[in-house]
Amino acid sequence: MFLFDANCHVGPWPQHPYQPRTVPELLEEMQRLGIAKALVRHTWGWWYDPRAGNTALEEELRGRPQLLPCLAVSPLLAHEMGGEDSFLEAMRRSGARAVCLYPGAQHFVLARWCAGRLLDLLQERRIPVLLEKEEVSWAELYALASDWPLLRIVVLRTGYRILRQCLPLLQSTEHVYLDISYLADNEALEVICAAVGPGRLVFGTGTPRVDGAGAVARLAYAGLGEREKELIAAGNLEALLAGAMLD
Amino acid sequence: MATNAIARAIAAGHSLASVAEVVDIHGHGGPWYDFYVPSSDCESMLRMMDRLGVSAVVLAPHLSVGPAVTEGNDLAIEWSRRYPRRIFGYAVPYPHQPLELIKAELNRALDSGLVAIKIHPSTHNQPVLSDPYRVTWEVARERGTFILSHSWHGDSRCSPAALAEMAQQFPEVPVILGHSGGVPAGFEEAIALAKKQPNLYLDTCGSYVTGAWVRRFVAEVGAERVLYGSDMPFIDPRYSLGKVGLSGLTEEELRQVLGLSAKKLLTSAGACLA
Repeated sequence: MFLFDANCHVGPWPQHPYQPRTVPELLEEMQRLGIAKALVRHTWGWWYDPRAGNTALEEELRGRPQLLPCLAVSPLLAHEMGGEDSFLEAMRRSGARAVCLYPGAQHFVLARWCAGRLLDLLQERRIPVLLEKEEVSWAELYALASDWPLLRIVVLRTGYRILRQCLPLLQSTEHVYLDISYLADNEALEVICAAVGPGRLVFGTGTPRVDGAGAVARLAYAGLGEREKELIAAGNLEALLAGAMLD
Repeated sequence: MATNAIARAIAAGHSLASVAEVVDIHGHGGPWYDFYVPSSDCESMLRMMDRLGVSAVVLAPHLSVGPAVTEGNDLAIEWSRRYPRRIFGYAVPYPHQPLELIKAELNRALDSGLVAIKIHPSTHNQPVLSDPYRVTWEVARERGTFILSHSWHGDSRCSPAALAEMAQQFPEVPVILGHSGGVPAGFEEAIALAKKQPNLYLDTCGSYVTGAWVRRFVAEVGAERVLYGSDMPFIDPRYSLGKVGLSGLTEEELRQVLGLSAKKLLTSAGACLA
């Protein structure tokens, strides 16, 4: 099965010496798990500075067509990202078709008064937004999806103990997606697919903080049809990225 | 890429039944209060086991590690009788009873077909280094069986160090450190203690266990004392199976961890395996 990883990082972590951390190490890990392609973030974009992280990511992924960059962005577009045009140009130059936001660690609020212009821009251009679950509450996700109903929101590393919140969220919104890196509730893949179809899940490993082998096995053994598995493995993420309008 | 028949089967989503005997040493069953647990009845769990090629599970229903030990033990008895050689049950003590009642309940459950003892000092809020659990260890010694305990680094009720102290006091009783201490600092603690204490065992279930840690467990403690556990249905069993199976262990090591280590313990406890 062709696996496209929506959730992995390169770079050093301040909290723990996670491995892999370099591009060659990430490629080795992908080979171990049989992963063909990955949407990659840089730890600097989360734990140092979005713009510096994006520059580092662009340099490290150069010449690696199987690794697509996902750029970090601050809502202070003019102050921290060089302005809206400059940010969009950075996306085009690097080949990025998705962004990541870290509202918890980087202290901003996913509401109109704080991040309205950025969220409008991402919604208008259908640019998928990756959000680590630890950075945002379920209530905040619901508010975000309600206020920007066409925004493509991909929630990463959800953890388990989540079905009482994520099922109603998925059922009451149209463009919220979950990665399966740490979607570890028993038979959660099957339950979610039965409730909202296979179109709302994307394969992700959580590398290096989560062992991606768990996600590989859950998808391989999923009680789903081959077409459903293929959508989760790669098709849904490919479609999300293809929908981004950057020109 | 997958390097042996077991890893290849897991990566492809094929049943392991034809390539390895898999015994899950750490199972549960039934609903749980703080989240919805789909497919938690024993028939659903058996269907999942069939899909993965898991031949047997040793379990303690959530009820017994939660609010109702006697009813939970009864459920384990019922399931193990309904599916002999596939489902084995743990007898669980309720540590807030008089000591003679703890002993009586454990013996009742073991006499009724349960094969080993599970304790959960965290959910039952009772330190392992206390009389209720000393009685529990005495029963295990008298019955010639083993104990699985929830273990967590930093939780003085069930730290690897506290459980190692019990293992030292009762060297005849094998003790499985469920979750192997839970977090990386706990894994280090559990490894160090298991290297000194030969009746301590490690299991593979837990959110923080990775393939790299499984390799480390095996390298430091030996595959004979590392056991595959899933926490099913508390956590999807495919999570743990993937991490163990794709960890890079050799096929021989995988056979040991996935089944042979557990079979040896179960056989010595008198369980009748398929």
